[in-house]
Amino acid sequence: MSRLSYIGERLFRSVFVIFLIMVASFFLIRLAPGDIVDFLMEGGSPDPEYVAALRRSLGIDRPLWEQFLRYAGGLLSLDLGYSFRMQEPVLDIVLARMPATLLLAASVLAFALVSGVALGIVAARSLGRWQDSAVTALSLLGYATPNFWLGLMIVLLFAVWLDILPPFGMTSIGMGYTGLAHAGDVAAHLVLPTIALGTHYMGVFARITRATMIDVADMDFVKAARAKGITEAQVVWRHVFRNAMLAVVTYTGVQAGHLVSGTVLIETVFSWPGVGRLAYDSIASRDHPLLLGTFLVTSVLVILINLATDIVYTFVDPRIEVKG
Amino acid sequence: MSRGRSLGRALLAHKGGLLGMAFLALVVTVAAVYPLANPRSPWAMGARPFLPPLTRGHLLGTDMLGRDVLLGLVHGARFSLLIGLMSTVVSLTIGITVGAVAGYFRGWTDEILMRVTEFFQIIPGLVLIMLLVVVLGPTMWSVVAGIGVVTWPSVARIMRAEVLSLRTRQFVDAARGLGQRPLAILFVQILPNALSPVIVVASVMVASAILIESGLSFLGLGDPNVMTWGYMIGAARPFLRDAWLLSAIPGVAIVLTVLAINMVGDSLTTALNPRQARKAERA
Repeated sequence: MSRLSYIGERLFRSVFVIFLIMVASFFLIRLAPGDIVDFLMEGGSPDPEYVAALRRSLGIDRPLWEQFLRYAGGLLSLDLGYSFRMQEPVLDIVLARMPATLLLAASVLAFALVSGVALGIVAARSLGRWQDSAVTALSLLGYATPNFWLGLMIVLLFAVWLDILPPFGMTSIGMGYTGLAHAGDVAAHLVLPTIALGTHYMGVFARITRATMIDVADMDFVKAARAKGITEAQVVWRHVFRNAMLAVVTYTGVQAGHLVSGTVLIETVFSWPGVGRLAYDSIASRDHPLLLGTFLVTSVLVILINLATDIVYTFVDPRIEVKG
Repeated sequence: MSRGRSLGRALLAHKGGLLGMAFLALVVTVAAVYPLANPRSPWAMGARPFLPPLTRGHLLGTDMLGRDVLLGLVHGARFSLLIGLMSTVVSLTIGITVGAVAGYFRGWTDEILMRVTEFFQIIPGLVLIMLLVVVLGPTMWSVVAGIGVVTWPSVARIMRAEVLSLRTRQFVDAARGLGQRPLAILFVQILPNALSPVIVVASVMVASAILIESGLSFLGLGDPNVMTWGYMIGAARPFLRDAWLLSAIPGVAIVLTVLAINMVGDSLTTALNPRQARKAERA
């Protein structure tokens, strides 16, 4: 299969999954007891004629398929509804929060990648010795520790007891930093949430790298390369690292949704002003259109990330063309 | 019989698995027995708040409302394990059915079911669970349903792969030749032979269900009538500075339990899929 038709097929799949997301979100709203009008009129004793007029104007009295078409049409023209609580269109609110979440996610992935790959290489080069066991134990602990709890514990250690890092937020309030000082301030605020969310992925990447190192070391082309006399560092860099990166790219694509789920908890723990925190706040303020909007936007984002990793894959892995 | 015995031997040979099983047995026993010896409600606010651990009558002290921490921990163990198991059952039911049907009938059925599976695999699971819990109301059942609904895709994928490889075997051809109906062949002939990799995933799934549930309860989105570890951590969070043990203790309980389940899962992998295990051992 050629690269173009492979990408085309992926594109078609993504469009189909986005369609499923629209259907799912449409029915999710309708699972709730009562409709939006009941919700808006909650607690009052509204005039029945006014209620009927409101239903008509919102189109809730129309048949279901017609409502769905209108809803889907709205989504396609980027109308995700209106947040009555925040008096703003949902899409604007969610997009305004997106950069903070993307920054956190990028920081988490960078941390997990660097530390995970390093630990994996250390483990693979000391197979069966204590370093190897230590990395395995660390990975297992990383899998088993709830990220929000790890967050609280490192806040306790580094912000409360040692007092060397800020415990929450994205910037220091009232300091009015600009330029480099501002960047440094944000970086300091990033450290704890990054560790809290990244430790799990560090464990995963360490295991992937270790496995790849061991697999690759057995392969003929690496034996041949060694026989040719290239150094160990070159073997690691040229062959192992590239193969480990393939696995890591795949994993990141598949787990992007998992990462977004993690940001909900971590952004809540650290009062990080991103989309995850927004999802939590929208529940606290009973802002259902906003909660649904965060679900829609983050889902579409994850699909785009998947699509991107699939496409990156075709460039990194030459085998994909034959594999089809 | 001999298969069962060799399975048992393989399980016993795995030290981590044994350790994990011993710890889980301890947790289950305490969760079952302790409430009999101490029948108070974990919500009862009898004692002075913020009593330190090792106080007489309160082995792990009391929380900010004077509730016994040990009692909360024990009831938390009950519901964490219960919710973990029940949501795994939901997840297995959906995953096995979808995977088996997709793998057996192939073609368009397979194509559509796998796209739906992909949808559930891709979306941010926690946000969907939050939506479901908000829409259906925060009960234990909606939490179980929510976790089940977002965790089944991996089961479906494994099941599908197994069924795809089993459906061309001779014993299946024989059943077809004898005139058995497709669904009977699928559920009577193929399914029992496809289960061992699913069992391995199921054990890990209980662990991840416990983690998801703890996150939900931590956010205050769990069943408000059920004492859970996540709730204990979340409720004690405002007092982190002065009473950090109240947040630390239930977290340690989660880590140890999830670790134990994962180690049992590893030993199941070794026992049921020796070939995959040898690969994983090196991995």
